[in-house]
Amino acid sequence: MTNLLRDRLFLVWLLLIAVTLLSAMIGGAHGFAAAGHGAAATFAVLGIAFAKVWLVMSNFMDVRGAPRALKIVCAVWLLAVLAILLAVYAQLLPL
Amino acid sequence: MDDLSVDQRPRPVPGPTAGKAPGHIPGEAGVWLLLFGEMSFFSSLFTAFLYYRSLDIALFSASQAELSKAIGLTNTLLLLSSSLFVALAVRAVAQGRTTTAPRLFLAALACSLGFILFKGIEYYQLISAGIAVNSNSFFGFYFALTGLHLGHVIIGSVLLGVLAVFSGRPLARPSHFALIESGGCFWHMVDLLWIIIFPLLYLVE
Amino acid sequence: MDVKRFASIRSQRVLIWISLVAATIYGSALFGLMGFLPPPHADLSADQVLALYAEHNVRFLVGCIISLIAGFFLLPWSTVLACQMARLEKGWPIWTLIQWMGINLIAIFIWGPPIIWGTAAFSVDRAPELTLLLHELGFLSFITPLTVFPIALVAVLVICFTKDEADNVSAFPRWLGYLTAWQAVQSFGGPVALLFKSGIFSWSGLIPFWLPFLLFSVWFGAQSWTMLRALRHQEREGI
Repeated sequence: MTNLLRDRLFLVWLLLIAVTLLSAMIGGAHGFAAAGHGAAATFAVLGIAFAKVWLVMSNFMDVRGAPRALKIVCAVWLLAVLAILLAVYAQLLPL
Repeated sequence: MDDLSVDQRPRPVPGPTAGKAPGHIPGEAGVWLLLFGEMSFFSSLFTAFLYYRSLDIALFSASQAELSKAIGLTNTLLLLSSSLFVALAVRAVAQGRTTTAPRLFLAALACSLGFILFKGIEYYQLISAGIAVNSNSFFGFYFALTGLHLGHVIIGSVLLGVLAVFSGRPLARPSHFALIESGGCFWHMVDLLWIIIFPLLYLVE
Repeated sequence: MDVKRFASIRSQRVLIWISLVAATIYGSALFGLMGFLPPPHADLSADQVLALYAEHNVRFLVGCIISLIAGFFLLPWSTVLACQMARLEKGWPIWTLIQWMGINLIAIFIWGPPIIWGTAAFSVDRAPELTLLLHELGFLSFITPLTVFPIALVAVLVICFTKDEADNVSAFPRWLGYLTAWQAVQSFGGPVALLFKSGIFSWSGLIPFWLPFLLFSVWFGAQSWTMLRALRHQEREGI
């Protein structure tokens, strides 16, 4: 068990599970912020989701050991998609 | 695949430090073409979903309430676990542990079969409640997004089965390790797409 | 690395260029003369569809004729592809045959729909519902058979990942394998068109039309380029 707790992959998995449960509590029809705080909850939920994607990429897909160029492409791509999604959600884009 | 018997060079299998050397591209450069292509494809769907949602927020909220958050959450946990197993399995392959690696790939496969089962249950519940792909634009997106993703899960499951078989043999050449690692990355992509689909469909308010 | 020459290099090169030229003509006829770019929305009424075919009737029919003439373009292309695959494939060329049959099955649905659209435009004084039926049949038989692609592309994938040849001179470099895999997965978007009459999942939308056809163009171009490059190498090396 101590070995397991020293394993980075396992720890990352624990963290992913924890934040998933957290975001399930924040968002959705019966979430903490169901009354009146929808936008804030959505920003939080999507932010958490993209943080999880980054965790999966860097640890499970081993992007952390990749050349700098790939790391930058992944990070820029994730931030760009998150920004577009939030902007569309908040109706900031003239679509 | 049948060239394993032709090429009997000594195993240039990456040692336990595989992937730790700085500048190692996970899988190989080509697989990232596929991964970013797929992720961009799904991102355009996510954007379209939020755009159509902004046109009729009341309808989307009411329809979202019909979904089972418990099933969505369970499926997220299943895919996250399968991703852990795949990451452990690829590491086991790199370390040349040919007994452990197939078991880990099979564990990941079991998780993905669980995902498919729960997805089936959810579809069954919705369809029994008289909801179908043409019910409204929310459910159009719901079925299309989850259906396209399910297609990726099924392709990925086949891949996991293949990887379970191949990881049980000593690797004949380095390019085979690259293929196994690339297969693993494809599965992680299936996982991370669901990581975004789950909040979009079930949690956005 | 003992590879035998299957066919004359010059013939293969000529056939690829014939395919590329014919594909361009086909695309111009379909999307230019027939005006199917962007494709008409899938939720038009019968009267609107009839008007579509009546408006530039002769131009449309000429477009049909030209696309029927140029619509063969996948046949020589898949045959050169088969030659290139067979020289790398080990043992009896079973994957090569799968590719050849698969792409040629697709070719039927590239060449065929203009007949259906032509029939729709042939009489513009019939009941509008009949024209609507032909219109829908034409589009759905053009878009949904994308599903045949994956089995043909799996064969290309096998060659990409098992060949005994350097990537930089091969017709099947590994990166092309991944591009091919992406094209294969995207092909499943085609049949989604059967479920939707409007929006991004309908036959005029992003998923069944724009992405698969954009990606097909990229893949078709990339595979043609790597084949021409490989032919240059084979000519130089006398293999």
